[in-house]
Amino acid sequence: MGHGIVPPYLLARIARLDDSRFATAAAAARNALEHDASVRAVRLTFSFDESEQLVAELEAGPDRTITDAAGTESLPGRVARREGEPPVDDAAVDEAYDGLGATFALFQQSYGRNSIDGAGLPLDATVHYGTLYDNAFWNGERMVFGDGDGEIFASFTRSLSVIGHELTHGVTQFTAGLVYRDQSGALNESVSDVFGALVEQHFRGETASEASWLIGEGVFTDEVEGSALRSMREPGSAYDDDVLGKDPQPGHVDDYIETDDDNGGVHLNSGIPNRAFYLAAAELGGNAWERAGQIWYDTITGPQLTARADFEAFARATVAAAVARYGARSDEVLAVQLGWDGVGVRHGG
Amino acid sequence: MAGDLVVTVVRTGGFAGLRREWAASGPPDEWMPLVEACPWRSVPADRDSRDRFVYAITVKAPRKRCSATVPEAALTGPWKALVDRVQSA
Repeated sequence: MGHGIVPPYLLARIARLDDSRFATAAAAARNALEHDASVRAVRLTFSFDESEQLVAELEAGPDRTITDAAGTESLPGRVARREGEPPVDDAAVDEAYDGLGATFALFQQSYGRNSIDGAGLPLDATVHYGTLYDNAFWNGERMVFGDGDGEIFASFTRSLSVIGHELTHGVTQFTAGLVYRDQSGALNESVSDVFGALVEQHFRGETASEASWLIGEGVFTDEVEGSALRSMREPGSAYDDDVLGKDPQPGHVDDYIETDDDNGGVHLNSGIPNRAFYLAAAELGGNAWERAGQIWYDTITGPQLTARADFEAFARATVAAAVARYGARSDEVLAVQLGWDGVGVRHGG
Repeated sequence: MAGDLVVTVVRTGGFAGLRREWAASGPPDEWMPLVEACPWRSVPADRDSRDRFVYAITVKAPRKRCSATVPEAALTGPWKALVDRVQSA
């Protein structure tokens, strides 16, 4: 049995094969191309059934293109690696490629979502953006990663949770559309941290109790007194450094930060819903992407959440999502309620 | 010095949500052409980007006070020149 990602051009070639030995694969590829316009790339798995017949199974695969801005701020930059191409001699390119693949895998395998838009949208990322650029961002169309300054920040592609975070901004854009300001903005940030952490846990096969729950591990250089940019388990504990100061994230609504900076503190107050998710996932135990992650995914794709939702509206939507999927008296509903209770956010339950 | 023009740049946001601040000052004559070249009353919003930096820029002088919040995507032309000058002062 073998499996791999089949890029669109290869899918087209398989579909055209005129060789009886590969008739099954060719038919499967034609089926993918003809009957589902949303599938731009597929994962093809070969196996044999009980009667020794070759079985070819298809599921959606990513369609990645990594470009290199070569130290400039012009996008998209030169193409460095396309879907299906082998690794190149550039760590940032390969980290981005693999990170996008791991993120695609979480959403596809756990929630049946085919890429950012649910319809196979190509995944585009640019690396080596700017000079000594201390950031990674989503610009509405692509992920963009800086190399860091080398003194405080290393390359942003080093952390799988950062890559998962950026791609999740795309998912939120196509689903809940949470407005990027104040509480709805902090929720937008938190959703990206939640699925960024889950991408890493899913990739590593870590349970909720084994996981670090850190966001951006490895992005600080060794000079910084800190393990990561944020902690979902203990917001405010990720770093405490002479130059950077202490991680300012609150982990309880009593400590909510009112500010005009950072679009109303979206990267600060996200600590509150982050910890609510952690508490729910820890209560449930096992793989966090399975039940807790499913409830959060149902919440951002469901009917109840509005783009300007505040923390309490989001909390109510997570409880409603848990009731809808697992039942009103389920452990899952209790865990979600416990999570919000732990950070002081009312959930109507 | 008294009578100097002071420019303050506060950068917030970004993936890490870290706050950084820079300031520079000097005789108003040396700074006013660049300050007045900036479109203080018409800063474009950036509703598409996530995790980009936000720049709060303030100018204080004896007969001049202005401030604007400029998203990174709009930090071009005279805005970029002004921030670069303050950061390298």
